[in-house]
Order: sequence, then C-alpha cells, then structure tokens
Amino acid sequence: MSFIEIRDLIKIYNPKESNLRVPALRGVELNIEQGEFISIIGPSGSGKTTLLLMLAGMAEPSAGYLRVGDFRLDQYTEADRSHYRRFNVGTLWQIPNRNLIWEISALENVEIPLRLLGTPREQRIKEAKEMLAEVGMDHRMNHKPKQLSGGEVQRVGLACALAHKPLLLLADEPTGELDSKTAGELLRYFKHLNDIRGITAIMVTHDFDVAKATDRLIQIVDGRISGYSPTADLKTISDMHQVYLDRYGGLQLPRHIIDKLEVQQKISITEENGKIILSQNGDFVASKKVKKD
Amino acid sequence: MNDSSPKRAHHNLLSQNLFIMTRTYFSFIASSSKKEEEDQVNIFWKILSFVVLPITIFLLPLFDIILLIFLPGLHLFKPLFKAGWKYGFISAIGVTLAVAVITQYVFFIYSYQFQAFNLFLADEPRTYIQVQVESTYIQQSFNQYNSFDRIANIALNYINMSDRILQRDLFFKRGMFTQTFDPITNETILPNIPLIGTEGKLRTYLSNNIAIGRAPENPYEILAVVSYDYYNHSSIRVNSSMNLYIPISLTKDASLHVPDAYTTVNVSGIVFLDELSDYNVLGSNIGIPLEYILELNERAAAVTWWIGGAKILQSVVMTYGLATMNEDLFYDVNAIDAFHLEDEINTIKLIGVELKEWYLLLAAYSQVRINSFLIDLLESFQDEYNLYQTFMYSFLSPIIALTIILTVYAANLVRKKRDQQLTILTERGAKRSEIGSYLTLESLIIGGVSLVFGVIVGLPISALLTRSSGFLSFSNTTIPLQIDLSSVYVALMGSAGAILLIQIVNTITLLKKRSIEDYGKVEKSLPKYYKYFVDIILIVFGVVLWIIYKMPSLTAYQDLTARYVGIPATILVMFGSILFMQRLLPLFSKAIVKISTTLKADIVSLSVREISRYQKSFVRSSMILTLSFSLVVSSIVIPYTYQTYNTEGAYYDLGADIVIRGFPIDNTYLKTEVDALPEVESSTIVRFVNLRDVQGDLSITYSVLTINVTEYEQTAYFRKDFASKPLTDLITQLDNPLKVLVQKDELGVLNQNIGDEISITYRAYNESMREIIGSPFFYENMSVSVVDEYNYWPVLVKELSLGNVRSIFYHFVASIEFMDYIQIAPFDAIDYLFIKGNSSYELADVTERVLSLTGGIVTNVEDEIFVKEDSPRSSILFSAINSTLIMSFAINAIILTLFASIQLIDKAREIATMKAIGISTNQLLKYYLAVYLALLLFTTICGLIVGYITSAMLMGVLATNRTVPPYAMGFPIVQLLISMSALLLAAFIGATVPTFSSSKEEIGTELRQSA
Repeated sequence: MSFIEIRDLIKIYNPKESNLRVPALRGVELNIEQGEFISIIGPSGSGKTTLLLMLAGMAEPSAGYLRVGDFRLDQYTEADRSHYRRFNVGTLWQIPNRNLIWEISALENVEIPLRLLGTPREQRIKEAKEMLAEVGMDHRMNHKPKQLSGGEVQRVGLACALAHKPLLLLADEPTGELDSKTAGELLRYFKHLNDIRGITAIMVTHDFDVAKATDRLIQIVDGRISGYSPTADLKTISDMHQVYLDRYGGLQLPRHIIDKLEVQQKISITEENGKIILSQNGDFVASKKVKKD
Repeated sequence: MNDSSPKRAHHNLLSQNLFIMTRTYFSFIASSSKKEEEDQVNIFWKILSFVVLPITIFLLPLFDIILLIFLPGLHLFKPLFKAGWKYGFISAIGVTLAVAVITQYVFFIYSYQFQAFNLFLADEPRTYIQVQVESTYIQQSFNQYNSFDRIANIALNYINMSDRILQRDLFFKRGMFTQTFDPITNETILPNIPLIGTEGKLRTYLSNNIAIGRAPENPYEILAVVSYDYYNHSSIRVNSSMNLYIPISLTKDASLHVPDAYTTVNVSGIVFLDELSDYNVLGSNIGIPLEYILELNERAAAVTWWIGGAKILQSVVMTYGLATMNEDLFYDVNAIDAFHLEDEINTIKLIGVELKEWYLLLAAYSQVRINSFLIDLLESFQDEYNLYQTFMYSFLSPIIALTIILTVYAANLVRKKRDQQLTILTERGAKRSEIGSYLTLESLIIGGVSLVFGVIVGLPISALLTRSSGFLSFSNTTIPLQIDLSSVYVALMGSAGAILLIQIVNTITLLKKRSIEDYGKVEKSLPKYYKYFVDIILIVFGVVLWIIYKMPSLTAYQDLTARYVGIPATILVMFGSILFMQRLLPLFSKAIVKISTTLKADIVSLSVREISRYQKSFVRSSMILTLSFSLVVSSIVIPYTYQTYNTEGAYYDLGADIVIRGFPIDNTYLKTEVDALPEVESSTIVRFVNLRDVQGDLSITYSVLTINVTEYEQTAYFRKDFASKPLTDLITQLDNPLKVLVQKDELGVLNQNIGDEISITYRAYNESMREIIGSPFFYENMSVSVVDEYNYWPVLVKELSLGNVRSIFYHFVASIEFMDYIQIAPFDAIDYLFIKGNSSYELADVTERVLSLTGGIVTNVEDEIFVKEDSPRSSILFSAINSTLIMSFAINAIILTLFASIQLIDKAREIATMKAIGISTNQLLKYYLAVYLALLLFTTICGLIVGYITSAMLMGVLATNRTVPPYAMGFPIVQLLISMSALLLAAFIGATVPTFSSSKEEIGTELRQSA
C-alpha cells in the first residue's frame, strides 16, 4: 500500500463574489511511496498548488479519494485536518513571509511548531536549535527574518517545516525567489533531510534543474496528471515532453539553458515558418515548432 | 457657588442616556423585595437587567478570566504577542478612544448635572414649602405658636416625610406703613413696613444680627429690619418711636390724612438687611437671604417676638388682631434626585396636600394656601433638562457611531496584518480554540490597558469640555469638572461594555474560517451596504418618520414626538445621507482624474485613481471624515441658528428694540421728547385693534395693525422672508387708509386676490348711537382694498390657525389713518410706541432712560430673549452643543492620528515600490497628498451638505414650541471656516506623516518585509 494514495481527486473553487465555478483538479490519480522525494511540475494554473494544499490538509477536496498514511483527508473536518497538519505536515512556501512571522527571531519561529505540540520549554529550545543547526542557521538563530538573506530565510523556513518531525514535507516553489547558487544550497539541505530522516517530500516547481534533484517528476496539466518520469532518466532538454506556456503567454526556460547561453533579462522573439525563434542580441537561442492555424 | 449638590443623584446618574439600563438593574435589585405590578415594560426591563446586563458586565469578564486560567492558547502567547504588539497597540488606540469618549461623556454629564441644578438653585433660594393661613387671629400666647407649628409636624409624620424637612420656621406678618421724614428729599413720606412676629430660630438669628441697639424686651418694642437705603430715607433710629398704620390704600392715598387706626412702637434696635449673612437652615449649608424668607419686598420690617407682636397687632384697631400666619418648611435639597424630578415634584406636592388637609382639619382654617417655589424650580429645571437631553440624544448616536466605525476601522487593519501571522499558525496546525483563546487574552490585555488610558485621556477631554463653554463665543459659562466615585464607576462600566463588544467582534472576525486560499486576498469588493441599499433604506425610513413627526394631527404631541420620532428620523437621514454620498466618491474621483488629466497633472491623475482602486477602504475613511465634518457643521450651525432664532423670536413678539404698551398717543409732546433722547434713534406709533363679527356660531376677528407708513420701517423689526417684497415696497402701497395688506394664507381662505375689495362687518361702538338704538354697539360694514400680501408680521401674526371653523382670524396691516375710519370704543385699541435704540448705548440703559421719561409698561427685547449669556438655559443649551463640538474635534484629532499610523503600516510596501521605481520624495508627497486632498475635499463637501441637512432637521425638533415666525437657518461662515480649516489642516498633517516617515525607511527592507 502506497504512503499517499489519490484517486479521482476533484477540486472546484466556487468564489463567493461570483457565480463562476473554477475546476482546479479534474480527477487526479497518484500514488507516492514513503520516503520518496517528488517534484510536481506544470504550467501556472494547472493545479499544482491546489494538489499541494490538499495534501497539506489546507483545502477540502470537492470529490475523490485522498489518503496520506492512515489519514483519510477526503473525509476530514477542519478540526481533523488541523490535527493532521500539527503532527504530520511541514510546509515551505515560495514567499518568505508565508513561512515565518517577521516580527520574531529565527529561533522563536522554529519553536512555534514545537509549542503547538506542547513540547516542554527546555526540550523545545534544544530541538529548535538542533533543527537550525541542521539547516546551517544556528549562528543566526537570534536574528529576525528581515535581517537574513533570502536563502537564509528559506532555510529557517525549512527548519520550521521540519521542527516537529513531520511525515510529509510539502514545498511550493521554495527556490522560486532564490538565485541558482542559493537554490542549490537549499535543495541540498532538502535532499539531505529527506535522506537522513526518510521523510516523504513533495515539491512544486517550474524549474527542471530543481526537479532533477528529486526522485520522481510528476507533470500536471489542466488539473490532471499528464505524465510521470523518474528524474534519473532526464538527461537533456530534449528528453522533456514540452516546455509549458502559461495562460498569460509566459514561457519558463530551463535553468541549464539559461545558464548555458547566459540569457539576459531581454530576449527577442520572432516567428518564422511556424517556428518560434528566441534570440539574444540577434543570435539564435532556441526554436520550437508552433501549431499552424 | 454653594455646595448644594444633589448628592442623592449619584446613583441616578446611571439612568442617563446609555446608562439607563445599569441604573434600572440596581433599582430592581434594591426593590426586588417589593411587590409591584408587572406590566410588559417592567418585564422587559427585568429581562434586560437580570439577564443581559449581568452577562455583559460580569459574566463575560469572568469568562475571560476562566479562559486565561485554562487557556489552550497560552503557549502561543509569547511569540504571538511579540509579533503582534504593534498591531495590538493600534487597536488599543481605537479602544482607548472609545473609552475616552465614553468617560468624558459620563464625566461631562455628571459635572453638568451639578452645574445645571446648582444654577437653578442659585436662581431660586426659596427652597421651602410655605403654608400661609390668612386672616388668622394672633393670640398673645405661645400655645398658638406651638400648636400651629405642631400641625406641620403631624402632617409630615403622617406621610413619613419628616426627614425631607430640615427645619420649620413660623411667623405672622401684617402689612403696615409708617409716617416718617425723609432727610434726603426733605419731605414726609409713608413707606411700607410690615409687622412681623416670630420666635425660635428666626428670633435668635435676628437677635444675633442687631447692628445698633438691642433686641425688643418690653411691650411695644420692635426691631427695625431695614436696608441702608430705607434707613437713610427715614427718621427711624434706635430709641425713636414710630407709628404703624394699616395699609388701606384709600386712607394712604389721601395724602398724609392718616387714619386713627395705628399704634406707636419704640425701636429698640436696628438690623441692616445689607449686612445680614444668609439665614442658615439646620442640616444644610444652603444660606437663604432673610428677605426671601420674610418676603420683604419693601426691604423693611418691624419685627418683634410672638406675644409682643400680637399685642402690637391687636392695638391697631382696624386689624382686628388678624394677620397672615406663615410656616416655612425648609426642604432638604440635597435629597433631591435631579434626574427623577417627576417623583420629586410629586413628593413635594404630596407634602403640600397633606399640610393643607391637616391645617384645615386641625385648625379649621379656611384660607390655607400652600406655596412651593421649589416645584416651579424643579418643573422649570425639568423643562430645561429635556432640552439639554434632546441635544445630547441627538449627538450621542453619531458620536457613538463614529467611535464604533473608527474602532472597527482600526480592528480591520489590525486584522489584515494579523491574518498573516494567524495563517502561518493555522498552517502549522494551530486549533481555532487556541488562536481564539489567545486573541481573547490579547483583547483582555488591550482592553485593560485601554481602559486605564481611556479614562486618563477622557479626563482632560472632559475637563476641556466643562471649561470650554465660552468656546466660539456661544456662552461664558464654565463648569467645574466634578469627579465622583459613581461617575468613575459608570465610565468604567460603560467602557468595559464597549471593550467587550469590540473584543467579541474582533475575535469572531479573526476566527472566521481561514484557509490558505483566503490568504493574501486584496479587498477590492464594494461595501456591502451598496448591495442591500442600506443607505436608501435608512433615508426612506428617516423621511417617513419625519413626515409622521410633521403630521398636523400629531402637532399636539410634538414635545413627545420630538425626541422619539423627530430625533431618530434625523439620525436615520444623517447616516443614510452619509452612506449614500459615498456612492458618489468614485464619480468624484473620476471627475478629478479627468480634470487633472486635462491639466496634465499626471501624478495627481495617477494618484486619485487609488480612490476607485481601493474603494472600500476609501469609503470607510470617507464615512468617518464625513460624519465628523457633519457633526462639526451641525454643532456650529444649530446654536447659531437657535440663538438667532431666539433673538428674532423675541423681536417678533415685541416688534422693535423697545416697546411701550399703552402709550398715550395723543400726547405728541411726549413722543417728541422720546425722539429727542440721544439714546433713541427713532420711534413710531403703532395701533392695534380687533374688529369682531359673529355670523351664527361663527366668530370672525379682523386683527388690524395700523402703522405710520413713513416711520415704521426705520424703527420696527421686519425680516426679509416675512414677505416676498421688501418692507418699503409693501408699506408704501398703503397710501389710502382703506388699503390693507393681508396674510397670504388667509387671503386664500377669504378666496380673494390682491387688488380685490374685502367687505367686512364688525361690531362698532359709537356713544351717540345709544340715543338712537338704545345701545352704543351696532354692526358696521366697510370694505377694504387688498393691495398686497405678506407671510408673517411681527406682533400681529402669532399663529396661523385656519383649521378652526368656529373662530376665524384675519390679520390686516393698514396705515394708522385706518383708525379714523372705524368706530370703536376708546379702550378697544391698543396703542404702542415702538422705539429703536441708538446702537452706541446699551439697550438696558436706553430702556431705563425711556422709562424715566414715559413711565408705563416699557419692555425691551433683551428681556424677552431667554438664550443669552449666563442664563441657565443658555448654559444648558450651549454646554450641550459645545461638548459635541469639542468632542468632534477630539475624536477627529485621534482619528487622524490613528489614520496616519494605519497609513504608515498599510502603505509601506506601496511607497517602497514607488520609491524602487524611482519616484522622488517630492513626487511621492504630491502623490499621496493629492489623494488625501481629494478625499478631504469630497468629505468636506459631503460634511457641509449632511451637516446642514441634520441641522435643519434638528432645528425642526428644537423649535417645536412655536412655528411663527419660522426660523431661518443660519450659516455662520466665519465660525465654519475657522473650524473646518482647523480640521482640514489637522487631516492634512495626518496625511503627510506616513509619507515622510516612510521616506526614511530602506526600500529593500520594506519590500522584502511586505512581499
């Protein structure tokens, strides 16, 4: 039996202020084993974060089957989900101030999940310090988040997410706001903690390089799983099925391409014989076939 | 000011305004053992008192304490409090404000209670009930004295009210006069000097205050109790003898032909009234001048002791030994419950009734009269207090609303910021109960701190209020701040209630189901009231209530409907209009955008767009500002209008600065003399006559005011809106004695138009007709020509009662020659001389000068104005108004401080972003100030409109007692300009603070922190 089992999971948002019904997940089917490090990739609005929220017990499924360990999240009330989150889930978000309370120190932030567990003060402080040491932030434990760099904030965030020793670690583009070096460091801590603690980790990302650090990559498009790949099989860009175009026309280029070609902030885009040509300073960067109407 | 403060009224303060519930609660506890009839109102109050209040006041804090002890969220306290103290502090400012408003209101009302009642007490020192038994045979015996006094005691004991009477004094009094020589005028005069016989405390008091000589010891000895003036104008001296005569006017008039009915007494001593300290009543520190007690209008009396006095009285033959017995029962004014005057009046009336019955029963006196000046005093105070309360009620709701909106505003901001922290906690698995209990604990701390600081802040504000009645020159009266344990108690109770309310609202709002999806949502929705048309509903309800209030069939109950229908209608319309006007805010901002775009003011154009972008937030600020501007406008416009209205009302009643009624118009010399006075600018004769006709059971009266066409305008009072034409144009048309001006509505009833002839029949008088028809009265026909119409005419039109078909009045104005064309009895016409005073003299001096020349009934307009400096009414009225004004200012100042703090936190990211894209500090300043200026401009306009509408409606409530002439809404531009400018300046400074402060912050930190 898989650690996480998802069957025909549906989530429909129904905002109060409009009559629109927005389907975010349209029948997700997925199994994840304990200790796996998974990345979920897909264009904006494809349902990645919604799936993550479901797994975190932060959103209620509209329909379907969702089990994490022994927890039937599809049948849980808010109070049950709250209990589930407290003991079993750690989260790390892209925006730093979603992970940390900005007005208190790193140590105090890490202490919060332990406070919620009712850990005695001495033990709590000890464990929090150890956790900070694990992410290499023990030397800055008395600093407030605004005194830390982006990477440091996310490392403290990671310490917070793992302080209460959860079974499941969920991260939504944790490296999204970091440069590649800092992102790489964070990923190493991620991987290290996954390895030594055997924790199941799921990470949403746009970045193939980041995704490559995980064991398995799950692609999600329009609220459905569109493919699975063991990341070990991913060698080059040509191995990918496609590069995703988001609903606003945004295109996310793989990090290694960007690094390799030293792509600047501005690139030119032209269309030629059904091909989109991206060029830098007039040079050819990449081309991709587009569908002709 | 004496200390005759209504001590017992301490607990009764609770019955005021907001605190009526609390008072009722305690009174129910106090009277719970008594069986009483339980009507529905009682049951309602009982439920309120026994259920709602204990829950609100006692159980909820108890609940908090329990939460504190068994708090599931206690382990979150440290990090959360550390993280949220800044937002808690803002919330605390809001709550502190609420507490301060409540505190100062309570302290102000409490202080005011002392002041107002003391003012009235000071105006009426006769705080006693007087039993007067006329034509009583005064015996030369103490038995009579004692038995008479004992009756009062029996009566009081019978109704168990003896504790209400501090002291009794008994004396008899008989009017007398004497013949004496006035050394100053060098003539013999006959001044009044009543004979008074007394014993007891009065005797001791007088004996102790003898200035010259000694107390009477022998028969026919008296004490002359006189003023210096009286003493100097008479030959009454110690050891001199004087004759006492009875005042029979005929004999007195027969100059110096004094009757034989007299007796001779010796003056053993002199008591000077001018030197006397007030007469002190046992058990009270109220001093009463002796003149009031003995009713010495003459400022003189021949006083002696009971038996000696009786002997003197009996020796004057024509008195038959009869005098008026006076028993003064001094009421304990300290026991007066200033806020339950109805009960108090009934108590005094009951004492009066019992006294009368017992005197009738036990002494068989047939002419017992009970006087209580205290009842008049209390009734008068009650009327005044009703007026005061009307004001307070009117302004209380907007002020409370302002406080609540402000607090909610602060709470909303805090919530927005706290949401982030609480979301993190929720994500980490914190339970709702943990967060809820933590928030409750936090509210308790904030509430406790705010309570203390609110009271501390409220104190100086109330001190300012009580001392500020002279503010904006409304009145010079100041009230010393009174603080009493019970007022502190009430303030704390009220504040605790407010805090609990805010605490519950905040906690519930913060506890609302939160999920990650809700996080970071920008509030761009429109205010909810838009959707449900709350504004329109409020306006419609208000207008309907107003129509009901103005219904002619309810006119008789206007005193009652004013408070319970008129004021709610005003408040509904006020709130409705404020909400409605906010709908225009986007239109206004669009207009500004358009104008600024046309003018190429790009930054202004860009910044004002914020109003549409963050409509909900701006509407909220706009509502608060509009409300406070409206309050300021109404609290300036109303007193101004009311004062003007009162003055104009007095002029309308009188017709001119000074009026002499019954002026001998044939004495042309006298009028010339009056005109020649330097104090007089002009004068004119006005004659008034009622011509009556009876047709079946219908009585028709033509009231005609005849005026001197050439003189009238420059002397008489006339307001522009009394007629559609200027006065000159109206009266110059009266070039023929039979041309008249007619009241406009009455002209309609007469079914006539301008230019028509009206035939009138009236009961004429001509003595020569007696010989012909046997009576001087006969019916005469005449016709008058209507040359024009008017709406109101001073002196003439007092009411427009066109509804009563049995008795119809028509009011004509004609030239004075009209009187020559009618035949009336000489006494039928009332003749006036209208005088306009020279503006360089005080009107009182002019009046005195005129009076010395003409004698007669001379009235000046100032005597008719009841709202004037230092009058109790003025003090009451303007204290209420001033308090509102100052309160609006105070609230505004705090609002703006809060607003600035909120801006500082709320706009930090926005400002940082703009700085990041290269906006200069100047441009930034321009950017934000343009938004605030636009908002302030909008709210000022709205405030002026709503304030004016509210003032007009409140004036309609205040001016219920009369409708003629209609009050004209005033618009004191200078006062408004000063106040509004001060407010605008304060708001402007408030708006610049966050912009300047933000410019100091480092961009990166700002951006990262609020990312």
